[in-house]
Amino acid sequence: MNIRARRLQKLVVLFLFGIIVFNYPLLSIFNREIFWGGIPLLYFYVFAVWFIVIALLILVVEHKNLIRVPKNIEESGE
Amino acid sequence: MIPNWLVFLVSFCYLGFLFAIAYYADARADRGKSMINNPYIYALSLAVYCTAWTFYGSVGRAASTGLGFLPVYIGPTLIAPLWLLIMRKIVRIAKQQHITSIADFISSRYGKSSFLGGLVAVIAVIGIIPYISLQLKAISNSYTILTTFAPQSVSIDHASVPFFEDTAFYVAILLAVFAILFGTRHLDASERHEGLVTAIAFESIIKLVSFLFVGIFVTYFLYNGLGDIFSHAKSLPDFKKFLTISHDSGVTWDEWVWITFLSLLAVMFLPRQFHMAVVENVNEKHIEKAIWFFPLYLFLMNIFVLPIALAGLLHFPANTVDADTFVLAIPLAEGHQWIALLVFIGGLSAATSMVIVATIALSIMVSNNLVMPILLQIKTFLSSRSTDLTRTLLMIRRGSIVVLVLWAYVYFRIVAEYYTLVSIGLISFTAAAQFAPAIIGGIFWRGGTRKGALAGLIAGSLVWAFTLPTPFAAQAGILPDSILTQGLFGISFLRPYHFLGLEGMDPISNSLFWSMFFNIGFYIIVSFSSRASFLEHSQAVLFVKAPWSSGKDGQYQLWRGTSSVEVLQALLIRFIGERNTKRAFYRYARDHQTDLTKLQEVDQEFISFAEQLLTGAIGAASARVVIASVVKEEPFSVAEMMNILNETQQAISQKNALEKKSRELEKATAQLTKANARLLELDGLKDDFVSTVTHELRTPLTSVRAFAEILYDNPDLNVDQKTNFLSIIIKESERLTRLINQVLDLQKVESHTMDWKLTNISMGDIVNEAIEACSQIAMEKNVICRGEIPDDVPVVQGDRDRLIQVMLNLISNGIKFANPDFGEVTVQISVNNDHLQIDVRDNGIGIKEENQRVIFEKFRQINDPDRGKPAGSGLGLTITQRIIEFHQGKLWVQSAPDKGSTFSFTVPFKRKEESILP
Repeated sequence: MNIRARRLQKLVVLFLFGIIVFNYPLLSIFNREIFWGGIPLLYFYVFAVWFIVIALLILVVEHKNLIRVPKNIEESGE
Repeated sequence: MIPNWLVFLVSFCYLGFLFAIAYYADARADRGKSMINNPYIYALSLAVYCTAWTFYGSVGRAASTGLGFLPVYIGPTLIAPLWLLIMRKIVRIAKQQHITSIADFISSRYGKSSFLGGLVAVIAVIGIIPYISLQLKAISNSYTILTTFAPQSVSIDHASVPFFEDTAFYVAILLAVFAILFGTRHLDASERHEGLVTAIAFESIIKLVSFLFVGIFVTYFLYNGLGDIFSHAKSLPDFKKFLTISHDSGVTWDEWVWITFLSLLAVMFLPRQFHMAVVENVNEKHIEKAIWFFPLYLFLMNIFVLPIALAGLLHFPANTVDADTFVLAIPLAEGHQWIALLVFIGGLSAATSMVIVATIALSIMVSNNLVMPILLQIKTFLSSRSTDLTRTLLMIRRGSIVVLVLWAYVYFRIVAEYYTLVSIGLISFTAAAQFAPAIIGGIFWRGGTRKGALAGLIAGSLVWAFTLPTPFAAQAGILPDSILTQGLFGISFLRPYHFLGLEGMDPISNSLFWSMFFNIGFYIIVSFSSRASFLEHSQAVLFVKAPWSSGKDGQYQLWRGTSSVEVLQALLIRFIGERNTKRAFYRYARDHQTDLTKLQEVDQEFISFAEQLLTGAIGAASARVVIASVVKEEPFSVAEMMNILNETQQAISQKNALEKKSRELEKATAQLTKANARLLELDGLKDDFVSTVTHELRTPLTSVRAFAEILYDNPDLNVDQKTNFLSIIIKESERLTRLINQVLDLQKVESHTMDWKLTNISMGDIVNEAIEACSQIAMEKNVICRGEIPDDVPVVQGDRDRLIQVMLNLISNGIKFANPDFGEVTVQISVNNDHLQIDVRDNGIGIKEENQRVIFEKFRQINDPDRGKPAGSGLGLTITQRIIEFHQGKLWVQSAPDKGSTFSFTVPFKRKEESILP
């Protein structure tokens, strides 16, 4: 129960994190006509952060499944 | 150019394949092997979010606004983490209540209101039909481009193509057939549609793969990677707008924020999303996987959008090719017809998946929330003896699918010409967003009422209708243009794009802001100022509490009335068929271990069960109406309401009583622990006492015996020696007697059995008497004993003998320790406010600070190496202290080494009566 509550809290934090990184004013820092390795900075930033958010989501959601090895138990329980 | 027949063949082969997949999945499910009980299939089926708008429209939007296409996909990514909070709760409620659509959800939450459900259905249909027609338009467009592509001629005139030559028409018919075959298999819409979900998940894979394929083709085969495209694009005249978010780029900050917010709501509350995420959910655990898988899908879907848009702009001179078709046009222009065909299939899959799911979701709403309530109003409908209504119900649902698809097709032929892909999509999004306050509020806030939801929905959707579809109608020439520029009736506050005079926002943000403003505002204000009915209230509790209550608990007494099994069975057979009814009844009897045939009158639990069976088939509001028609419902009386309240009250007070009890127990335990500790301590003291007393007794006894033995063994001792030994024996026996007396005294005092004789006494007399009695030993020790007694010492109450004992004890102590050469003991009485103080002062060696406390303890004698062990039992001061305590006085000592010591005690004039010991 405790682990679940913590996971929920982490997800809420991720939601807030997403709101901040994909929004004005943080986004405006990268809102420049600059290229990084030939790629526009803002384009690069948005996709990189998007990917990071997804990676964090995987970490948080699957964390429990990663430590609880017996996957077959979970499936048979369904 | 690709020949007509080939495109035709490919598209129908694809659709045929889709039918096959769905058929296979359904057949497997019938054999008990579910395809969709898999989190990835679930997450993929949610990707029905990506429609033809995504597939073709994103590139078009990117070509005109740069990164402006992104917020629609960032929004869902943002809200995904909260799905465990929101969607899981909705899924639980929907499963518990057999809810099958968004209209049913809202209607059920707010007291199973037919009107509310109908309203939601109407808003959904009006909002979504254009969106469906958009998909048909995309299919038609892509077909035309594929078959007639020539870089210079791209204007497509749908109106000139008769419908029977239009591929989109046949596709629409096929989609309707698909929806009917795989979306209306069961009457109970809360049962899962395995074939449908599997097919949609498959389509999601196809569209992603084909889009990634064309993206990689454009980026890495036509160009040398992302960097290459961007460096080429620098030659474009308005290249800067692709780099940033700014006013020049076509997407502003507030548009970015508002569209993110809009899509965040739409991804949950678009009817097709709700259908896939909630109604078709098999296991709520699948939501967890979707939380990251779905954003990942969107991420992959969007990586190549901007590169393709830039490549399209580089390839085709300005405005020669519609940017919405770049995905198709680039491979065609490059002569890669097979890639174009693959893209076409991808687009087809995106469009068809949306059309199928949206029509099924809408048809459930139309049949359960619009047609059913109307039919139930017709008196003859229920009473007519047409035994089987199941066929009628299925026909209504299938009919509404056909009507919806055709309606969308007609809409496309007449109106959709004028719109781009994205704009219609966002209009539908805004319509779906209107459901958000009623749903979110409904599952987290008990206070939301039916009237509040109704007011919010009406206000929000009216604002929406005025600010978004109206201007389109004006642009299309259906309404006068002046509405846009001068406002409705010439009132400038009523300009759709600048509602209430709000300037500086784009149309979508403007509409979203104002519709949400009025929607939420009315919902909250009206909810606060209206009262919920009993049914509304109990549903509200059920919905808000949902995640913690599972199964049956939380079911309120919603039905209070009587009916019989036969009547309910007959009713259910008419609506859901004989087989389903019998099976459900059998399951109920098995789970509850009752024999339904012997039941005379059914309980309210059974009626609720029957109602839920019906809810799956005809919706919550209609089910309630139908059940009410056969259950003789007695309204709740005030007394019964009070009963329910009382029960709650009782439960609460019982709980409080229990808590109090447990607190008291805790306290008692603490007291017992303390008492136990005290007992252990006393036990220790007792042991000490016994061992000390025996030791003290043995010492004189030993010497008595020793001297007695000497006398016995040596009868010829001389007289002097004999006398000497005998006097020692006598002295030691006296000491023994004294010791035993003192122990007895102490025991009496401590066990409160001392026989006190309280009389009026004069302390002066007592002191004189005691000094007199001690004069003999004082003389022996060469100590001068004096009394300093004032003339008028008040009379006090006390036990004369005991007080004399105190004085004797203190004085003899003083004599014992007084200076051996010129000893002096002074007894002084002083009269204070309310008590006498008696001081006994000697001029002896004094008592060290650390010993001043211990001398009052039993058997404590100070062993001073200089002076050896003093005579006495060590009980004297303890007894003295007890006697003085009985007289309500205090005893203390003041002393310093070599300065003598003063023992003082007090005796109050007046005894406090209550403390007389029994």
